[in-house]
Amino acid sequence: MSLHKSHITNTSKHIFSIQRGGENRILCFATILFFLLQLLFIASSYAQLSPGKLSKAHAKLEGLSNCTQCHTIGDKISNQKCLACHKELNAQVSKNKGFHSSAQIKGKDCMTCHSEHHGLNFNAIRFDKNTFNHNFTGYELKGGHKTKVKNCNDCHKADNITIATLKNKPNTFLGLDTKCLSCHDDYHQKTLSNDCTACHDFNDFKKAAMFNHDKTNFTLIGAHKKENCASCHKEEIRNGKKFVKYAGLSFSNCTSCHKDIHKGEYGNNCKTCHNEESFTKISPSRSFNHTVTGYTLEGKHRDINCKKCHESSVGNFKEFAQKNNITCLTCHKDIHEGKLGNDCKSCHNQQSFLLKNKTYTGKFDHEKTDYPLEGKHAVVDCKTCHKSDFTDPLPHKDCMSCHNDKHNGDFETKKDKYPDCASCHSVSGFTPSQFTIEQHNKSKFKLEGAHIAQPCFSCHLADKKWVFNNIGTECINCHKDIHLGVIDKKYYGEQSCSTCHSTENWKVVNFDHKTTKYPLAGGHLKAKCSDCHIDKKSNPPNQIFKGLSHQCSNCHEDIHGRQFEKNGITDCAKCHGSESWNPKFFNHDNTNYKLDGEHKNVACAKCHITTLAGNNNIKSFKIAKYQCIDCHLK
Amino acid sequence: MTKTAHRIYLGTMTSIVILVTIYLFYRGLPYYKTSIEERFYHVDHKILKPSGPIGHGLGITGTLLMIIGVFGYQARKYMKSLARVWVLKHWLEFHIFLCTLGPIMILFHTSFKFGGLVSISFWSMVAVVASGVVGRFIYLQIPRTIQGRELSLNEIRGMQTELAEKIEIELSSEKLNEILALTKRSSSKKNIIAQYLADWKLKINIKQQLKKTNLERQKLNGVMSLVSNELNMNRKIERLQVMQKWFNYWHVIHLPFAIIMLVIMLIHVGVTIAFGYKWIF
Repeated sequence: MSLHKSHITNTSKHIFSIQRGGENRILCFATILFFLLQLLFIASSYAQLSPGKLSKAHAKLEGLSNCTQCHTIGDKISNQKCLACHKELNAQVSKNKGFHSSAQIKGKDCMTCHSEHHGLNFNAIRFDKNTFNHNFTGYELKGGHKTKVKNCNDCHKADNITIATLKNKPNTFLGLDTKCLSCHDDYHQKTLSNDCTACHDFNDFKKAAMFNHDKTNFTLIGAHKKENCASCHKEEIRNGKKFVKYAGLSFSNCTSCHKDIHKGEYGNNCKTCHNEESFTKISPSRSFNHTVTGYTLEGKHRDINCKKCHESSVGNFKEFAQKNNITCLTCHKDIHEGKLGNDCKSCHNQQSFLLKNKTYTGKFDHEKTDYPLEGKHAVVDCKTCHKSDFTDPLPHKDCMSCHNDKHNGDFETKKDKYPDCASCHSVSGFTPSQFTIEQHNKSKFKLEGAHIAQPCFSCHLADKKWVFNNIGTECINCHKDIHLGVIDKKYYGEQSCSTCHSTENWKVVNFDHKTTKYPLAGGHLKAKCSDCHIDKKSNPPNQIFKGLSHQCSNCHEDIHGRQFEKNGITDCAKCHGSESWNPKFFNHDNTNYKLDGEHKNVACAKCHITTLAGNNNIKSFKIAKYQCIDCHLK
Repeated sequence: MTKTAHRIYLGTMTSIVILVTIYLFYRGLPYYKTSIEERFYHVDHKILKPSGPIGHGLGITGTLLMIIGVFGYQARKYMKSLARVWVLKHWLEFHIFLCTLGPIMILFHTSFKFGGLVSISFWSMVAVVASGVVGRFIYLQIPRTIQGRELSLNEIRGMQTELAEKIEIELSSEKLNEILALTKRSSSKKNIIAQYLADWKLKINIKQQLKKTNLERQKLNGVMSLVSNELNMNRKIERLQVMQKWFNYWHVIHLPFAIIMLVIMLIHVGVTIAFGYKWIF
């Protein structure tokens, strides 16, 4: 109450002055002391400076005295302190090996990825096991390690850990060796090398994909290549486990693996007859001499399998020993059913059952049949005609029973005249044809003149195909009309060559020139057509039948150097006739100088002197001056 | 400081506290909700862990705010040279601001992990803050001068008379007497809560009576404010002695917790510095 009174009466005093009352002071300090003592008690008894409990793995490091086991005074957490305890990891890091030495981790503080003081159940190692890149550990997961192993602990387990100190550490990923046998059992029980990868890859142990039998002392050849491994390498039980012997197998002799079905009768060297390709297929280079058995193998018999003749179930290849009189039919079936006798060799030989030209040595007499073989038929392979059975009757009346129509039905419409191939061809050969000119002359187109000498192909072979019918009978069906468009139709009709030409001789032309506007007379009757109608100066020479002028100078050369030209035209006929070159029609009296007296007897050349004009000699007929003194006083 | 300036002063400090709290919750809630064992693998762990840039920063800042808040206020109270600097009421408000914001920052600095020795410091801090809230309530129950000095009962009674005069201006003397008669305390004493409820009912009663006099709305509000003050004053007068006693005991709690908090905080800071977690700014 006294305290309250003092409040009311002395309100200007500061609040703390109220506390100066002895009772409160004691209470105040007692309280402070109590809390401080409690504080010291807590501090000393629990040493609770830690920011949180350590995880189970580090639980033994709990307590004030252990702080510096991990913490460095004044410098947080140092990697050295971590690695001082984690010795196995330290060993890995110092060897620059393992995940902690990878580029991803190197240089980082431990505390970047790991932490502590997050409670007893805190897991300081956490990563996504599904996406973890195992390559960073320095051991790439390949094949089955990648696809078949689903859980890290399938490999990272105490059984596989080689470092003794790590063996019993739960959840550790350290301590595995990269050697296969550190995790896998040695299936081969130390009979093979420790280098598993020399034979196996990571995908399939059983396949042993890296294994190459050729590198062993026994190279696989032929059928051995296709054989299952287990055929030679048998599975057995050794030391209570399945085991296959791959090393130390005897292979010096075939009988090491194979059973001698001949029971030693043919010696120990199987390769005398057999090879690796096939037991039943005897090697072509076999050295077994069949002749010693009394039966020499020839032809195809050399190539066939022994079993074709020797049944393995009978007498070890000696089934023929007791048989007498061994003929082809001992082994072969008579497909002719005895109709052709028992002597097969009369037709067949050992090279081929088929009777081919080159190998035919048979003695079958075809003369006995209704169709004796003649000409080329004598050397044809029997099978060519006898497709199935030699004894089956064959139609042979017509050639086309066997042969194809080489003319592709060209003679179908002429069956009445040419019923069979034999009309033109014989068994001596398809060519040459036996068709005669007489036969040809019975056709629509008789061969006359030069046509008789022509080979058949001149007319009947067009574009490499023989054509005999409907090739036409007109000249232009075979010959080319070289006058087409050059000679008017009125002179030779519709390309009727025979108007001028005949089959006798092409060059002999029989044309009546009187039918033209220029009937021929005199020397013109003797001239060749080409002299006037072929322009020989052009190359190739042009035919000129139309538009030829009747002027002499059109064809003839003016040798007088145009002395007689009047108005551009020289009329040769004034002096010359068409019969002869002689100036028959010339009368000197009609000139300006009439010849009389002795002049009549004077040779022309006495007055008409030849002079050189250009390259031609021109006789001068036009004498300019003809007074006596012009000639006589020279 | 004018009334408005004071309001801005308080508003600013309150806003800062609220905004900082909201921001820190918004930024770190997913992380703080994560269990202790899982936190290390949370994306925000590196930043928000107590030693992370934000976590550690909050620790340092919060500590400094509290040290300034505590020792600044103490200095103002005990150092004569500071006696004239600002009024004590504002110092107290600044003390409350710093010592509210500081502990909130420390709360986020702990990342809601309360263990070890330092947790004693933390819980002491919680106790100091809690006692501070209670203290503030008691403090308000004791009328003071603006300088923070406690008023005597006579001074309080004088204030009451002033109030009555103000009401008189607004109302007729008859009405005033009527209202004052209503506010008179009956002889029977009631406990604090019962008295508060009785006063509340009385205020409603008076308001209804005033409404019948057709008083203007503005004047009515003014009168009601005065009536409220009157009733508050009545209650404070009634409880003054009790409150003064409580306030006396309160100091015994508030200060020792603060000392414990500071001592263990110093140990905590010392240990962290020793282990290499130093000044980060």
